[in-house]
Amino acid sequence: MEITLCVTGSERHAIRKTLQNSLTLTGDLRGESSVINPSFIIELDNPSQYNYCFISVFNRYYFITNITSVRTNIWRIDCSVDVLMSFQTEILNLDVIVSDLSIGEPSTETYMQGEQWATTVKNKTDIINFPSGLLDDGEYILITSGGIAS
Amino acid sequence: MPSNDVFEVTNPELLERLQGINNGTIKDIVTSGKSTEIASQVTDTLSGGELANIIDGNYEVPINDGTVNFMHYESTGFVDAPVTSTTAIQRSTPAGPISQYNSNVTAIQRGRIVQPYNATVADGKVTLSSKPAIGGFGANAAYFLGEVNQAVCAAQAGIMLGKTFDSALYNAMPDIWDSIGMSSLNPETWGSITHGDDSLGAALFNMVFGINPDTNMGQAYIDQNALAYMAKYMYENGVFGTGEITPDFTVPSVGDEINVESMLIRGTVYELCNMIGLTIDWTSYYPDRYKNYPAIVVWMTSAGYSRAAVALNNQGNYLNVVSQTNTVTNVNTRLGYANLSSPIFGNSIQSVFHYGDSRYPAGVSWGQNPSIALAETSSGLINFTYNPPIEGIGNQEGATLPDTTGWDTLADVLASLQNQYPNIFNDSITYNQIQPDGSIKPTTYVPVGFPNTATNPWTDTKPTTTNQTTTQTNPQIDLDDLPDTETSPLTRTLTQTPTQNPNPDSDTPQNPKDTGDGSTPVPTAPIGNASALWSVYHPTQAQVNSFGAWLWGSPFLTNIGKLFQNPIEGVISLHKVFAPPVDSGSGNIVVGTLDSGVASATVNQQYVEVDCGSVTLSEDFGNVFDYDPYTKVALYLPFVGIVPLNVADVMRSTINVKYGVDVFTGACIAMVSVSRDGNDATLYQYSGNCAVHYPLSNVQQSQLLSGLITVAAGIGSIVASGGAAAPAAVAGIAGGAMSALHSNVGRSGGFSANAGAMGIKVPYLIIERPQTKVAETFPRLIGYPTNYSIKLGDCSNHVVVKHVHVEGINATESELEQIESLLKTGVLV
Repeated sequence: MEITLCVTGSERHAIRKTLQNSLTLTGDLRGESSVINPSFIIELDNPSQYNYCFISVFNRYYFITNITSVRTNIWRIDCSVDVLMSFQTEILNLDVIVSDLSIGEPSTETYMQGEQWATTVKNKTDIINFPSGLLDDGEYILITSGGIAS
Repeated sequence: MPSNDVFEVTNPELLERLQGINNGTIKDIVTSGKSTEIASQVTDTLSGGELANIIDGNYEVPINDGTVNFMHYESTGFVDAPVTSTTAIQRSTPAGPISQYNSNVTAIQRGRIVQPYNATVADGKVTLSSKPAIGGFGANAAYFLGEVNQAVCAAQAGIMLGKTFDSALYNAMPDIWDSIGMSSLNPETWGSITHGDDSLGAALFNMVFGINPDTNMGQAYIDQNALAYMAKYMYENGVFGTGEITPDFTVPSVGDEINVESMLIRGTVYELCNMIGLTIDWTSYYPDRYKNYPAIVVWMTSAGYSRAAVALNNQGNYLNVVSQTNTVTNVNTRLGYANLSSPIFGNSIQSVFHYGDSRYPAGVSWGQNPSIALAETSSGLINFTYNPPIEGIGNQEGATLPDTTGWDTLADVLASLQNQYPNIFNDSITYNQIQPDGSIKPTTYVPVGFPNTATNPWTDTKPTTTNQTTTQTNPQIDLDDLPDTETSPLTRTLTQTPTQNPNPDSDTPQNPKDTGDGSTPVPTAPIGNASALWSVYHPTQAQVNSFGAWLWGSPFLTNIGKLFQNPIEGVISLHKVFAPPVDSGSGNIVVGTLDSGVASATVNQQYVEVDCGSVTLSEDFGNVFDYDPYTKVALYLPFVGIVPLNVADVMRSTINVKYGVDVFTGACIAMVSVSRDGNDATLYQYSGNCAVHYPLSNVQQSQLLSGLITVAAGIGSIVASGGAAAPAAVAGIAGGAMSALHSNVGRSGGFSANAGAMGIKVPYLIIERPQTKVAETFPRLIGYPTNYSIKLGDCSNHVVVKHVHVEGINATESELEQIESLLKTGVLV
């Protein structure tokens, strides 16, 4: 069984992460071990620089959630599965309906409601006058009984 | 319209017109009272002969190869026009002709003419046929999907808009078709109409290419949104500049009177000197850098000496004025300086003085800053619009150039093009594009021309139209003229044959087209009146006074008592109405059978129409902020009050207000019409009263006051209750009024006529817009809101999933739940 310790600076919610400074350790699986939240003991000078790992037999990637010193050069590594990286191929093939999409993609909507559209409590008022209107001064109308004189 | 109608044309002028050839131009119809009448007359029940008679003298009939395209008029409302001097407009309505003299005329009726039928002219006979197949490229045509770069796409669009391009353009503006520069006009739209870059970094546009094997002709089509984008881009970059100066700029002769207007010709010193033919020695007093200084043209006439001069703001409040008639080597010894209020650009000119020439007003010497009125110096600044032409860009002979009025947003441009070039959109096709998620997205493609076929027409970064084989009127290309190129844009045969699109706005199963249909009927007022039972006069103030004197003179009181128990019953009413009555004649004012001997104009027409004109309401933000709840729109209507409008109804539209007024009673109806997407509708109507009645007896006074109190009490009680019917009339533009508007005020007014008479008589829009605080990085960190179906792998950056079926993943249940949860929270792709 191989455990590859590495470092990632990618955001936790990134599906594809960049991994660096890999160190592969070989050993055997002993005792109980969770596939979702495994813990394992390693012998290493100082594993504190690592925050990520890949366990080949589980075929999954993991966040290193805790590193505990057992004794000199012996460390217990607690991990939590990173489902996004572990199943990235299948996830990227999913058909989805997105509610928020970054610029540059088709059909980004600027006419849909969202929390992105923040405003202050102030507003501004514009006035558009029509070109004309009713008379400023009225015109007299006199109505009397009877027909108009010829 | 009966199909296959045959009739004989006997009118030689009409026959000549029908058989003539023109370039297919459709003219705007200036309001002359004919448009409304004609629109009401052109119906489906007309015979061909009746339609031909209507067309005669009313329409410019486009003719193409002996085929007459008959027109049906549809109004798209009013657009603004340049302010002119006092002009009389004679308009006719179904109720009869009215005259309106308006010193601020700005409205011109603009119509969009659609083409429902065609006919064949032969031997003096016109045969009408039913509506022809719209657009299309022949029943046997095959269509291919191809790609062109942004430069070729721009040239294709430019050809359809009547332009020509030659190689000199690329010396003058080498980066005119640079994709980065072009994309900055509207990055979101650019992203939706392009699909990546080629190896040279050019943006790629889909192009559908039709091939008609029967005629051996080809026709290119591009996305209608790409056409609008290119049109706007070209407009913003001066492609449609003609070099003309509007109005005509003519140097007056000595002694000519000049009409002084307070406006400016602006440009750089270099541009303006060239424009008025002024030669300057730039090596002397003026260093080269002055060429690009902003400048104005100053018009000066004094003591019989007249010249135009270019003046630049050189020393703050001082202008260096350059003679128009001399070749100047040392400017500061000539003509002197004009001292204007600062800043000079944008402010009206306060004063001008001259220096250094005895022919100028005496008493002015170097260093003084007197204030001399413009009238004294007969100097002024005259406004012209100067659109410099771009070298290498020209116009096709006989082409229809676009009217760029109102080209504020891309949506405005597309709507404008649809109005101005209906033939292009009638010949459009719909290509149903299969999306990555399997959905169908219909896209309207419009026919466009081809740039110079001597070079590669698909990927040329500097396309030209010399040796042009395609034009605006003939965009098809002979397939034999297409060059053999290594790079063909015809990447694949379309799996779905495009459908001919009779409507530029296509429907989809999930999303119907975004534009509405239909227009409201034309309102008509009744005609006729019982002139034998009463008489209606339109007296002047002096005539009213004379009538009053006669009314209370002895002879009247003596005689009228024989006719009526209450003499005042002879006078039915006296009021002032705030709409212009239509005088039908003149005569003495008669009460009963008694002639007062007081002359007055008479009024026969009870109903008049007052057109307050139109305004255009455009988006300010170009996004959700332009609509409710962020933006709110209200309309002040004289004698009605402030009424709320639905923003979605009026945004991106032209709003027209007309009043129908009963001059006998003062009852008025304010009709608010909205024009958008080629449709007109009267969406709002409010009643009011615009007559101030004068009491003729104490009984009348009591009745009048009672009515006013009732109205006021009604307003107060309804407002107090906050009910849905609360009118927001009397409050005015205050926060209270807008709050009332926000709380669901009903679409009705409550202005009394007497109060309205003291109010504003011109309608105006009140637009409340938000002050936004959108984080600059939100596109990357949050993304734009959408409701889009997509394969997740086709996204990039931040994505929040709304709906997903997490399936096909070999993971535990908790992992699957975690995946769904993370996707809905937001992930980075």
